[in-house]
Amino acid sequence: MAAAVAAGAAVAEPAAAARPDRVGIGWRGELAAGIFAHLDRIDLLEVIADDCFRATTRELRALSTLAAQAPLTLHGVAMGLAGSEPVETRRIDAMARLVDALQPASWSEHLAFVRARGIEIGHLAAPPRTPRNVDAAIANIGRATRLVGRAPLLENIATLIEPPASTLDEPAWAGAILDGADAGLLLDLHNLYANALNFGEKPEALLERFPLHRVRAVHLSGGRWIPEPREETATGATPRMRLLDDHVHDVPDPVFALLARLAERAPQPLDVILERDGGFPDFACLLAQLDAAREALRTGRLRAATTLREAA
Amino acid sequence: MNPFALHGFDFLAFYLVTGIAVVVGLRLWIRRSETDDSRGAPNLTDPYLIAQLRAGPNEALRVATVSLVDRGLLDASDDTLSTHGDDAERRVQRPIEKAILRHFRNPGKAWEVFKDAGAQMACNTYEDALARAGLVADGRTLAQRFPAFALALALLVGIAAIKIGIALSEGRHNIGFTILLAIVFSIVALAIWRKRLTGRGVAMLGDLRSLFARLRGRAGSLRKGGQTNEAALLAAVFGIAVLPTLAFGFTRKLYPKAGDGSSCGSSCSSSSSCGSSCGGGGCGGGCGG
Repeated sequence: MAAAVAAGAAVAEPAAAARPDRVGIGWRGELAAGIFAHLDRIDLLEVIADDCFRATTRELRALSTLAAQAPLTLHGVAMGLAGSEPVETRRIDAMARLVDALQPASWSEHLAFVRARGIEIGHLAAPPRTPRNVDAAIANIGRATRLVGRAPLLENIATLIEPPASTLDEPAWAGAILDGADAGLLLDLHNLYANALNFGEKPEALLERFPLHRVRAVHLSGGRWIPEPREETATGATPRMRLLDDHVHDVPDPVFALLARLAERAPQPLDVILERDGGFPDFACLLAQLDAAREALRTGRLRAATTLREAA
Repeated sequence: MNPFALHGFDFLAFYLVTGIAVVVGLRLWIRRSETDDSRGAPNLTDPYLIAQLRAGPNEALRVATVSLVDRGLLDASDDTLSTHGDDAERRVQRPIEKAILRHFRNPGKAWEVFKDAGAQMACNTYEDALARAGLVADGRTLAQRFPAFALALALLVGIAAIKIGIALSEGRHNIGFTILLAIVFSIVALAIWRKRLTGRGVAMLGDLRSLFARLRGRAGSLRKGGQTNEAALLAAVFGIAVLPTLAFGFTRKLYPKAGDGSSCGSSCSSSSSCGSSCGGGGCGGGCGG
């Protein structure tokens, strides 16, 4: 592993030198004033693509104005690339039109399935992690890449239940898809943290098992503890608690520690996005979390540099 | 059909339609010819620049004054403002804020700052920046608009003059309405020619309103004394009337006219959960998964 990381470092170092890590925030209209007032502390903005698929010309022009203030990335939520069915062409076309109009720095989608046989789940669900599903996801991502003109970054999702009938664990499944599709990983560290805690694994150990050389972007968010679903609780037993990724709470410290670990292990430049969908605090609170993310990146990079020096 | 052969109401109807078409055409031509954004985007992080774009120098001064009161650097007592000497001036960076604080070393009415030379100079700097960005019209813009304006004016006045000449030569003197319409259309054309905002400025303002629309919906949750520029930016884009009455009631006393627009006020509900953010219309909704 150490050799692989060192080799990755050698490959990615020029890129890292060419572009530093960037720290930004998800664009939410409710945060508009705070974002505009602090663009000097925000390196990039992530726009939810699905909100803009039906945007009017005027709304698209407004987004272009936003893009002139800070680099944009587009984030899709409902394509369902990891479903076993082919993604409808109209959904990919909508993303392609948006990418064409806004020329974002990148676009991303989830490694999730959201519908089956036309029935919408209304949720990002983890599919059975099987080789067959890997093939279907690679085919979907390949189509999306061809129609949009560039490959998406693919995001790991949070799940409260282990997908039934799985034969692969999450890192192996995600790695196989990313390798097969030759795509980058958008690593949601809170999703990873929640999955690790919910299924009894150390978050750091789970992080190490993901293909870190493929990470291009990172999501940070928060969540809350909820009792596990009732049907999984034995009669009379006190329900276990599970961590729900809800995007309406602050990023917990262990997630920043994971970011530092990631920055240590992945030498390529990272785009880090803070996600906040509700329960909006004073913007100063969000700025403090952006600063904490920068500090975590700095810590990780310093550790990596120290390790490299010592190895030399 | 020769329109000059028309008489009375028939000619007036023709002239009315022609006049409307000419002024609408002039407006559209100017707007479309001024949407070029090759000059690059201006820095939109300064709320006073946005306020000045929207409604001119006095609005920039209004928003800056409200922001200074919000931050506790100016004391508001009814419509009178005062500050406490040099300390407040040292704590601000922007020339417009320094000028306002300097002006209110001696307590005075809020509107009096509009006549302050230092404040006007700060606003002139903003106006120059807006003109450089192609958002407000300067001498060069007016010159570029002039050929279209001159053509429109020639059409409006020319048609009226020819008809009046024909009428008088035929011994008819019912030319009052034609003269009146020609004057009205000429004034409208003049106003379009001299319009302060360029097509790009109008578009930029529309973009900002679109981007800030969701924040306007939760304006009621804004609190006084915020350490960020949120209130100032919201007021810059929509006007100070949008600030909630409960926390920013002083704006109504300082500027009764500007602060008394149809305001969302403190009764607006704020979105505070993921559920209410997901799936909303327009760009800028939430829930990234």
